[in-house]
Amino acid sequence: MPWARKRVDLDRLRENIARLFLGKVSVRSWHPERGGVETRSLKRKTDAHALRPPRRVLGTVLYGAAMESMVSGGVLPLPEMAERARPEKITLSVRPPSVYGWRREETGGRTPGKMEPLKTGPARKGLRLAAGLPQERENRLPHARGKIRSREGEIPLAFYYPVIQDGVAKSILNKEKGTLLVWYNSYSRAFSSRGLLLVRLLRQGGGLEWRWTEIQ
Amino acid sequence: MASQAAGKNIGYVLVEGTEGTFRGAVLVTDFRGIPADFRYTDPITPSKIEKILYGNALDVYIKEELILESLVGAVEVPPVLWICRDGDILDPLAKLAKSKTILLAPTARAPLDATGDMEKQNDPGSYIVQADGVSAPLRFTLPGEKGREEDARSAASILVEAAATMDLLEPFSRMGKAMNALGEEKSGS
Repeated sequence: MPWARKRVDLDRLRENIARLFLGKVSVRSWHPERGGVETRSLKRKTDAHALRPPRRVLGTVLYGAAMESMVSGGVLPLPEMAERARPEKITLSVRPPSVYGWRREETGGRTPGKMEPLKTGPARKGLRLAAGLPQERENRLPHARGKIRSREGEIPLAFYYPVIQDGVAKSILNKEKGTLLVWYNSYSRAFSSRGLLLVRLLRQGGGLEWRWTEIQ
Repeated sequence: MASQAAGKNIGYVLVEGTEGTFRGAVLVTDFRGIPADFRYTDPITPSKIEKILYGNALDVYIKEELILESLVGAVEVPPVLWICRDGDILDPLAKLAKSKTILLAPTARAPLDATGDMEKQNDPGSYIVQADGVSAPLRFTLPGEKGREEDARSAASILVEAAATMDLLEPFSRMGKAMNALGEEKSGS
């Protein structure tokens, strides 16, 4: 568009001449037809909510600020009007316990009679159990080496001491713990103790052997 | 020795306080460990408020004044020696008992030279004794601050005599089993 370029050049020339002669400030004009400016407000519309429940607000309205605090009390009573404080005495509820048990009947070696508990308790079954529990002997071989006689062709495995040989009613080896459980005849008069040795025999056909032995 | 040992008894005392419940038992055995007298108490369970108000004093009161006194008072077969394994009840037991009282415990010490040998320990009133020839020495403590040497010798001689025919610490495990059985039976009933 050469005509347009010519028009621009003319305008520029006119402007330059005007600057030279009329002033140095370029003044531009504004045409309202270019569109109006929309104005917006930063102010927000807010809703106010009361923090107090409506009933309280109503109360405040009706009775004023006195609703805000509660005052208790009143005129102090005369001493004779006042209720007397009754201190509660705290006592220990633990009392000496009931004691149950039994005592062995002394028969002087004769056949015993029926064993009766001294005081009837709720735990008779447990009482029988307590009376019939076996004694447990631990393996004392580590302390007995060199003090017990062992024979050739055998390896000592365990040594239980002391055991009243003539008083034993029953004995069981507890293989898990390696202990010997001994039930005595409660009415035996035997009092002499010995050691019970368990050995493994090395000869053909071997196996285990129990043997009574003395400590040297 | 056998004839001398016959007719003599040892009293074992056990007082336990686990999970807020206290109970106790006494087992008097002859020198072979055969029971001659067995007593046990009902379990005592103090309330929460009692525990708060009385604190540690409650444990002492229950163990010493209620359980121990009731048990020792109920025994009809008198022992020549009372043995406990709880240091807290040694002195109260000594006050209640009419015979010698000791605290007995195992050791892992090497055996002393001969049966009957005794060694004084650093703790007051404590000794170790070689009760028999095939076990580790046992440690025993006399009640009170000062254990007299002659009292120690007397207690040691009883231990040595009894150890010839019984395992001196074994009755405690039997009592424990009996008490557990009694507790289970009671809770199950």
